[in-house]
Amino acid sequence: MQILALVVACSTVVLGFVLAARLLRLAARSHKAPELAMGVYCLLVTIGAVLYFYCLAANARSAQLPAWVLWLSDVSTLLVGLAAFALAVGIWQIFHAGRRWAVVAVVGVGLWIAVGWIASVSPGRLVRLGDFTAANAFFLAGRVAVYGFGAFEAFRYARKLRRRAALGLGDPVAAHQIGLWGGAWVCVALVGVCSFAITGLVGPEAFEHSLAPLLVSGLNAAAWVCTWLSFFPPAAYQRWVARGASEVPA
Amino acid sequence: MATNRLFNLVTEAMEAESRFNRLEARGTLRIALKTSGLDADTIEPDQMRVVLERILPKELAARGIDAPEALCDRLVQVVRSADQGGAFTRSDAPEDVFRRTRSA
Repeated sequence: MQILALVVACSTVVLGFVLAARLLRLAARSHKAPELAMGVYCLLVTIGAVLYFYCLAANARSAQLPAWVLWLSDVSTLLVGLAAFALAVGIWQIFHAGRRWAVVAVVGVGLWIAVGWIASVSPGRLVRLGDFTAANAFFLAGRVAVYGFGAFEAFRYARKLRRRAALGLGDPVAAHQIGLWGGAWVCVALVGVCSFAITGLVGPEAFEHSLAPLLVSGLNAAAWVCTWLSFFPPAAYQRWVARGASEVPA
Repeated sequence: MATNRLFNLVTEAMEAESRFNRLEARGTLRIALKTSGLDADTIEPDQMRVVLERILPKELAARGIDAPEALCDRLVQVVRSADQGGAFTRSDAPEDVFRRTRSA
């Protein structure tokens, strides 16, 4: 089971780097902020995950961690926080570009995440995703607020697009893509919330058994698959979605 | 011209051509837009024409307006004449982002 969780984790890292490369290449051509923000999100969160896995492996090998591993742990959590901020910028640019309240919300959540990160790393020990501390809860809540708002906006907009599609004005494939994008953020939020809740209810030893890592890896994999299908759906998948939409009575 | 000026233009014409006051005209058009999954601040001329032809007549009839189709035809003409020469600029909509990525 733990080997399966490891395979899933490695696959999501590869998928994360591939998505980051494709989105950043598109941003270089289009000069548009949404794909740049999403490419930066994928890159930061994937590098952060690689460093996080490395720190966990180092911690499993030795109880006394060298200072540079703790430093890597701080960097990995910083990258995850910055990724959430990049996502907040992406949500603003995709759904609310030009709205002043959205700028204020992005700055506010950026400060929230920054304060949460400083509070999490200041004790000077390895920071785990599910650490059951007030500082980690604050850091996690800032990120979950971004993921939750992203999911809410995506589901709301996808619903609107489906209504437009019934009048021949909307793009059913885009509606499906945006819905999947929202699904990805629900899964990402659940990764953090489940890790935190499992640690709080069972303790950190829950992650030494197979079920908790498998659940978190599964949610993480679902998030990456949804992100991939939302941005780069294969042609056959697009045809399947379009065929399904045309069969729905208006 | 910002796209929400299109909403103002249509509601002003609706107010002039019917017994609706400003609030009633704006409210009725907002309901028609919401039913269609559209927003007053991002509506485009092509979308407005479809709403005026297919959704608004039912909303007007439900509010006791006589000959709603004729009123909507006149509103479509208002949109057509205002839209000549690409007067309404179009901003990047969320679906444009996902269209760009899927065709990349």
